[in-house]
Amino acid sequence: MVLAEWVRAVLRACSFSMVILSAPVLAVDMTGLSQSDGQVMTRHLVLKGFSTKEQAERAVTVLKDAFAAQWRYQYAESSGSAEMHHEVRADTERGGYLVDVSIITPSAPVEEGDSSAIPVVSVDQALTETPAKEASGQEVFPAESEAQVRADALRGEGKEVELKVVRVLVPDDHTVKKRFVRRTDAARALTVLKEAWAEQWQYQAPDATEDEREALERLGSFSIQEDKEQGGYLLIARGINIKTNYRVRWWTAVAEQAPPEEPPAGAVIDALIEGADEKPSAFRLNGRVKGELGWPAANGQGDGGVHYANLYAAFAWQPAPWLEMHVAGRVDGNWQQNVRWNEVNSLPGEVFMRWRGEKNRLTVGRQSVIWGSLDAVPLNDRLSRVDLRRVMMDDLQDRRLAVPMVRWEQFMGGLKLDAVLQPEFKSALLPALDSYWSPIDQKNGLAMGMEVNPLVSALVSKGTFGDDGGGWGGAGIRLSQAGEGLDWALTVQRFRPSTPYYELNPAVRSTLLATGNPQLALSSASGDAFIGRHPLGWAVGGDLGMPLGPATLRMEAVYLTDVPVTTNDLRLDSVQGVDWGAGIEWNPGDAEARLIAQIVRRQLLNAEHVLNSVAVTHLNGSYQDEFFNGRWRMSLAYAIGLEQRDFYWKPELTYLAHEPHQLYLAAHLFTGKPGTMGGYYEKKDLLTMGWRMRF
Amino acid sequence: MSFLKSLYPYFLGVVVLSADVSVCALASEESVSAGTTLAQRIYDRENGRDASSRGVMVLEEKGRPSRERKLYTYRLDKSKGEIWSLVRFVSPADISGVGLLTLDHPGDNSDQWLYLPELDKSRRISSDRKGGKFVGSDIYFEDMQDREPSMDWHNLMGHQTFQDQPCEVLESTPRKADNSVYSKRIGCVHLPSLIPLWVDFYRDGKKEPSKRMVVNRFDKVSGIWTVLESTMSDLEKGTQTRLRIEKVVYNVNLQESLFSRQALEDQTVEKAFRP
Repeated sequence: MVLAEWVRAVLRACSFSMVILSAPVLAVDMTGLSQSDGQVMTRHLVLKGFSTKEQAERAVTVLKDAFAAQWRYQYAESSGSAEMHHEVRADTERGGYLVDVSIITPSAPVEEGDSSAIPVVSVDQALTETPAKEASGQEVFPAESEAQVRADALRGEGKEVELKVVRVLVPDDHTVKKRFVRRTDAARALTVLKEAWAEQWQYQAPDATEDEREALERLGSFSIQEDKEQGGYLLIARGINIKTNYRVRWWTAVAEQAPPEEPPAGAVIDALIEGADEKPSAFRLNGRVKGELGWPAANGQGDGGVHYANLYAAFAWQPAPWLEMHVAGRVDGNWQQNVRWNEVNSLPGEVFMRWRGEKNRLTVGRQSVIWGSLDAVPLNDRLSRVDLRRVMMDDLQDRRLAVPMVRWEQFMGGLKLDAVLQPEFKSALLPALDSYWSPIDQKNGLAMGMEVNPLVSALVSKGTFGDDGGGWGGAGIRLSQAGEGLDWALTVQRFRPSTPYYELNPAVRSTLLATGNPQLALSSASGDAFIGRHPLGWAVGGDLGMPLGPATLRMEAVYLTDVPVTTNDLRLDSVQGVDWGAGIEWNPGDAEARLIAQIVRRQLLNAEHVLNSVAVTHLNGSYQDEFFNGRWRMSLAYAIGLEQRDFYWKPELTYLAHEPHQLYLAAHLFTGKPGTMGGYYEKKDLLTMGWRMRF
Repeated sequence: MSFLKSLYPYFLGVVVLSADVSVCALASEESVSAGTTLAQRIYDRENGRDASSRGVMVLEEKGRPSRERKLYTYRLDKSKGEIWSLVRFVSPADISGVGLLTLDHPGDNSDQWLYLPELDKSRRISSDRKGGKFVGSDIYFEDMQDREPSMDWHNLMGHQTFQDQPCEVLESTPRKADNSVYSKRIGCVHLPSLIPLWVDFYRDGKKEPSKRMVVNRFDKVSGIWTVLESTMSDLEKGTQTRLRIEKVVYNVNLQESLFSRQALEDQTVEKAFRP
C-alpha cells in the first residue's frame, strides 16, 4: 500500500512539475496517459508550445531533475525503480516543438490528489516598470514578432517607440494535494518542489530582473497539513503562472531629439546602468609634479641644501580619431643654498601633430622616441636628447627631452616599421658649472671621466667649455616584431650622440705639447679650451626579448662606427665599438618584489694608443618590493663598475597610500676610483625627501 | 573549473591544482568524473565570442581610504584555448594609459606585454608570473589567466545553498603544483548559470583559505550570464578588492587587430571599441 501511495504521489508531483514548466507558453496533454500491466505503470505526457528546441530541452532538464529528486526522496524505501524517457520533436500541428515524456513507475497507485480552484486572478502591472513619460498610446501583442512589426510601423510614422515584455499573472487550477505517511517525506518533497519552482524561472523568465524573479518565486504556495480524517500528511502545492505579452508604447517624437546612436554592426548592447555611458573626451590634460629637498651627506665642501622642483604638463586635443594635437612643457627649478645658485627654466615638451591611418601614424613636431629594450639604459636609444642636469637621479623618461622629428610608424601584421628623421640636432642638457651635479669641477680641477693629473687639472680649472651643437640631427629606422615567445628588433641609425665628448682645442693642445705649460696653452688659443663634439656615425643594432622560465630575458647589441676617443697625444679620434647588454626581470617569490639585473659592456675595437678604457663593464638594475599591503615601497637602484671600483646606489622608501601622491625618502650614494662617475661624485652623496604626483 | 572566466568577462579563467594525491584518492570515481564534467561545462559555458567592458576596481582596507582603478577590458575567444585580452586603465592618473595585452595560447603558454605610457613603450613581461598582485589589488595575475580544465583534478563534493541559491561544491587541485600559486580551490557553482557563487583559494597546502571570492551580483546580459559585481578578499591581510562592471557588451565583432601591439601602444585604436 505504501508503495502504491508513493507511486501515485510521484505522478501527481510530476504533473505538478509540468504545470510549473508550462508557465508561459506550454500546453500539457495528459489524455490517455496511463497504461498498467500490473507490475509497472507507464504514463505518457506531451508538453507542447515550445518555440525553440533549446527551450524544450531546458524544460526536460528541469523536469528530469525534479523527477529524479522526487524519486530519491519519496521512494527511498522502495525496491522498485522509476524511469523517465523523453523525446523532443517538432510539433507538426501547431508549430514549434513538443516534448513527449514517458514515465515508468511501479504499479498500483493508491493515493489521490485533489484540485481546487485558485482564488487569485490578477492582471498586474507590478512586474513591469512605470513608464517614464505619459504614453500617448499602447497596444499589447501575444507574440514578439507581431509587436515588432507594429513598433517598426510606428517608428516609420516618426513616433518614439518602446517595446517591452509585460508579464501577466494568470490563474493556475492545478493545485495538488499529495498524501504522505510520514511528515519527513512530505517535507522532503516540499523542499524539492520549492526548489524546482524557483529554478524554473531561470528558464521561463530569463530576462526577468532579480526583483521580478523573487516576485515570481513568491507566487508558489507550498504547505503541509496533517490529515486528521484519513491520517498522514498532505503536501498542498499550488501556483500562479505568468503569461508573457509584448507591449508597444509610443509617443510623438520631439523633432529636436537626436536619433539614438546606432550600435556597431552585429552588436547586441545592453546598458547596465542607464546614463552611464562614458564618451572619451576630445581633450586631455595630464602631467606630473615633483618637489624635492636635498641635503649633502658630507658637508665638508660647504654645499648647503640642494633642492629641486619640476612640473610637466601635457595637453592633447583629438578632434577626430585620425588627428591629434599635443602640446607639453616642463618647468624645472633648482635651488642651492650657500652657493646661492638658483635656476628656473622652462622647456617645451612634446609638441606635435599626429595623423593616423588604419595601419600607420605620422607624427611631426617635437617628440621623444626611445628605442631599445634594456631597462634604464637602452643601448639602441641613440636619437634621444639626453638631460643630464641631474645625472642619473631621475627615471629614464625624465632624462630624455623632446626634439624636432618626423616619425612614420607602419604596422604590418605583427611587424612594425618605425622611421624617424631628426632634421635639427639638439645637444644634451648639462648641469650648469655652478650646479651641484656639474661634471666639471673647476674649483678642484676635476672633470668626470678624466684621470686626475696636474696638467688636466690646470686646463679644467682655467679653461672654458663650448659645444659644437647644431646642424643636422640624424635619422633611424627600426623593424620590430612582438611575436609568440619572442620579441625582436633591428635598428639602423645615422646619429650624433647628444652627450658631448670634449676635445681639447687643437691650438691649446699644440702649445701644451710644445711647452708643457697649461697657462700658456690656454692663452694661446682663441675660443673655448674644450669643445664638446658630437661626431656623426652609424649605429646598427638589434634587441631581443623572451620569456625565460619565470623571468623575462632582454638582450641588446649595437655596432658603432664612430666612437670618439682621445689619443695619447690628446687628439680627438674615433674608433669602432660594440655596446652589448643583457638583463633579466624577475619577480622573486612570485610576489610583488621585482628584480632587474643587467650587464652592459662597451668594447672599443682597434683602439690603440688611446687614453680611454678599451672596455667598460657595468652591472646595473633595480630591486623593489611593497609592504604593509602596498602602502609602502622599498627600492634600490644600482650601477656597479666591474673593471674598476665604481658604485652608485639609490635606496628609496616611498609612501604610496594616498594616490596619486607619493612621498619619498631617498639617498644617492657614490663611491669609486678617480676617473669614474662614482669617484667623481664620491663626496656628493645626497639625502633627499620629496613629493611627487600625477594628474 | 575556470572560476574567473565566470567572474570577469574579460579576465579569463583560473583553476586549481596541485598533485594532491590524497585528495584524489579520497574522492570517489563518481565525484571526480562529475567534477571534471562540471569543470568542463564551466569552461565551455556561453561567454560570447568577444566582449568589452568598463569596470571599476575598488581596493579596500579597514580604516584606510579606498583606492579606485577604472579600466576597460576586451576579450576575444579566437579559437579553442586561444584567448586574447587587453586591459586598459584610465584612472588614477599614475596608471592612466597603462595597458596589458595577454595572448593565451592552448595549454599553459601565454605571451604578455605591458604598455608604459610614460616611456611610450611596451615591454614583454613574464606570463609565468602568477602570484603577484595585479595593480596592487587582491587579484593575482593567475586569476586573470585562462586555465583549462585539464590542468586540474576536479572533485564534486556536494550541494550547498548560498544566499538562497543552490550550488554545487567543486574542488579543483592542480595536476602540477608548479603551475598554480594555489594548492587548491573550492567553489560553489550555480548550475543554471555555471557561475561560481564563491570560491575559496588555498595556498601552500594550508587548511584555511587565504583568499575568498564572492559574487555579489550576476545577471544575464545579452543572454549571457555575467558577473556584475564580485569581491575578492585576502583573508590573511584583511584587504579586499571589489570589481564592479559598469557596462559590458558581447559579440561586438572585436577585431584581431585590437589585440596587437599597435592597439596596446595607441589608445585611440582601442577607444573605438569601448562600450
